[in-house]
Amino acid sequence: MMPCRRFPASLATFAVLLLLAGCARHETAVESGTRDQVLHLGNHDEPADLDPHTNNGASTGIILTSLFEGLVSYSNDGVTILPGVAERWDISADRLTYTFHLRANARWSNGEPVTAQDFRDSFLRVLDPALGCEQSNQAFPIVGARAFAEGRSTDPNSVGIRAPDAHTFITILSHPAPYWLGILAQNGPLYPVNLKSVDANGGRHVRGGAWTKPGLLVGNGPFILAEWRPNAVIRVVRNPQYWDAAHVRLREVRFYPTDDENAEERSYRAGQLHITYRLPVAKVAVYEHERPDELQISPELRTSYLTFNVTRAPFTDPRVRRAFSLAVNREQLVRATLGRLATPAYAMIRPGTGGYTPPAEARFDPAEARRLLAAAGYPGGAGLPKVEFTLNGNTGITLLIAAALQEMWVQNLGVAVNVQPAEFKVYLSTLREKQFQLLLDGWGYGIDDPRDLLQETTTGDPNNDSAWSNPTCDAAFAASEATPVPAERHAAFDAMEGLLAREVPYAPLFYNNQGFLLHPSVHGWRNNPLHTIDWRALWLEVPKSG
Amino acid sequence: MLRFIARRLLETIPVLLIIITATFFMIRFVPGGPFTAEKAVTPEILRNLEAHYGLNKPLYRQYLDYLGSLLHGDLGPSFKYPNRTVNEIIGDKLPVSLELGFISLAVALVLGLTLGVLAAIKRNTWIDYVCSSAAMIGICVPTFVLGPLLVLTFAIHFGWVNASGWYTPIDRVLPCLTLGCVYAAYVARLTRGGMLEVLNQDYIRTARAKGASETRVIFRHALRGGLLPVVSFLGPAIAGILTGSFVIETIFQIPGLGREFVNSAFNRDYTLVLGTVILYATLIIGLNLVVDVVQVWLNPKLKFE
Repeated sequence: MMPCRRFPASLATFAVLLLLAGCARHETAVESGTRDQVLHLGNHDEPADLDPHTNNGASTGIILTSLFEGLVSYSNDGVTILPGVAERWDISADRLTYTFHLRANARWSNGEPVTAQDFRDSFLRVLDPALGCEQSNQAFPIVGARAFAEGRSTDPNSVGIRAPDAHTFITILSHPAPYWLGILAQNGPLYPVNLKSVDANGGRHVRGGAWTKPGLLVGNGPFILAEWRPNAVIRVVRNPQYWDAAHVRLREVRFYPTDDENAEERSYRAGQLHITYRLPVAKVAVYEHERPDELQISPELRTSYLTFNVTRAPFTDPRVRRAFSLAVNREQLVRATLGRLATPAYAMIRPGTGGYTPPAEARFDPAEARRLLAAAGYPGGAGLPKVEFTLNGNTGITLLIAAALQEMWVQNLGVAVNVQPAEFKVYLSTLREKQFQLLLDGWGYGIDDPRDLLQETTTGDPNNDSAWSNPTCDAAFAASEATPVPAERHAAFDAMEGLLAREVPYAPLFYNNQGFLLHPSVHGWRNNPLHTIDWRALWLEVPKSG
Repeated sequence: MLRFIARRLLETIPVLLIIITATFFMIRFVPGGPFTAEKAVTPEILRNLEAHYGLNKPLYRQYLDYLGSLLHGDLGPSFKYPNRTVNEIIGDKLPVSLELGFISLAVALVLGLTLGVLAAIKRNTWIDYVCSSAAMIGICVPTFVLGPLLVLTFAIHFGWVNASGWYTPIDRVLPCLTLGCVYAAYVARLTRGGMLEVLNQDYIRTARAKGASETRVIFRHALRGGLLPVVSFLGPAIAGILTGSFVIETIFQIPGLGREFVNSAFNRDYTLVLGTVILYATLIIGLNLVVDVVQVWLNPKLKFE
């Protein structure tokens, strides 16, 4: 009788044990990945597509570096240019003609050789007006590229690219652009694509062809696309056809589109990710205290600034614009908001960009700010037209920055601005149509060179949101483009920074720093402002101390 | 009953047409478009992009074209994800949201009905207070608090499950529990209220007087009537739960339709906005019809008219 009476109790015990066994701490993705050389990487957002010629997103660019390789590439320091498909290159004495010698063993993932013709066809595809490539301007240093992209010329031979034989590719520039190799090394639109596969699965003139799907995508990078589950994971595996496959130690990389940074941080703590894309500001201090080795703070090539609409009162007067800039205590602003995720900015260009250090002309001077405002006819802010301060989004940190600025202007100028958060696309359309007075704005440089940001201060540039126009500034920019000599270029940049500091169409606030988490098992990683990754340098290993 | 259902289905057509028309024009009048990006493109490129998707045609023409393709079941290409159509995206994401929804619904019903019935039959005892408090806490604690709390406990502290993702069956536990608990709280409150009202009815007293056991009274007689408010609530609730929850999908990084529904509006992905709105509207209309039929079945006082 006893066994029968005990049966329900035994069953319950068994169920509880089974449940506990099922719930036992399991091996995490990071632990198994470290053992098997599978890197788990948080990658911000879901790629719109994996076509390098239509890509517009930075996080998608990281995936593309694993699938494609350009003529040259960046090393993990984000500065040194490494040979890519081109094993070497010659630059003409006038710095206009670049002759790239392609390596004979460069192959597509389907085994076909990567040829100079592939590069020529790919460059022409980027410039094809029918494709509407948003980043086609990256190729504009090439002779005739702009006219071709804008449909003013339909002759491919008018574009300065030549493929005299299968292993020689020549680019002819319209002006000496010392940053040209940097553009080619970027994870941008100047990657080659396998036109045969593109034509067979969609066509080269249209976006959205099926050729970017797993099983169809033919790349020439260190990895091949194995799986793409939208909003879940993109899995790439080692490409045996890659010319330097012997030096790729990672067997697989899994990119997780994680648009919520809090969820990403929790996934990292639960052992699901080796590397996160970002870190919430509020978590920086926690990691600084508890896991300082895993916290990474990397300077970004991005300046955050105020944009004044110079066509709208009261910012038509440069004295008012200067007063608003002088009233900002940048040290305090950064301390009160982003902390280590920002560095106070006293010039538009981040010092060190492309080897250039700008003069630090912006400063905090409330007395001078009040004097200028009074000289403009608004003593103590009296009589100043109402100012709307438009923000991109209403996230906590954006509102915090706006509130800090608002307070500084009240204290130092006696001016109360009205904060107006706008949804991203509304914000963009507001600034494109110049329907604003003052913006909290920012710009991430596409290349490691001051020209990328300074170009937007020139007359008529589509990204010159302030609508400021100054012939001296335009001339200085043109001068910087006309010379390859660093000292001459830097002098032109100095002139532009000086003008910007006096006229203040834009007022620099801070340079952004990227905070993220890096698991100690990841080796070979180097932080750099361009966030370039040389996949060959990475491997996974349990740290000795752990 | 069939005539009732057929008539209701016919009424659906103009309702859907109004919804489609309103959505089509409202989303077009919102500032910014699908190709408004941080870095401005040249007007030539913008023109080419718009021509590729037919956005250069007059608005009425685009509307008629859309209705034409809709008749063939084609919801159009996505503007944000050029290599996927809206049909593909919905086909890809809806099953995930359905799975999340159905399991959460089961959690909600099992938990909610149990708590609600217990609270009603043990009215004004400590059991009632515990159940009612649990329901009140469930309603008050938002999912964006409950979700991360569960993650901190079971994923990070104990390491039993993943913190995010939708890869293995065990990944379903936390999101379904989080979403289920919120709906369970509403179900419990409504069940308790409905049951209390029914338990005071004459026919329940009659059943007890005739010597029916308490279990029989509760499950055979009272529950059927007591569930009426829950059934009314479940119609729109099921539509909401099945088409996905933006918050739950974001907290747990689930590749469901709820995130697409919200993000498509931010991206000005016109066709995806329309596709998800049509799906959501159809589900609400369909489930409301089911609710009406079930209510007549549960409540003999109602008739199909």
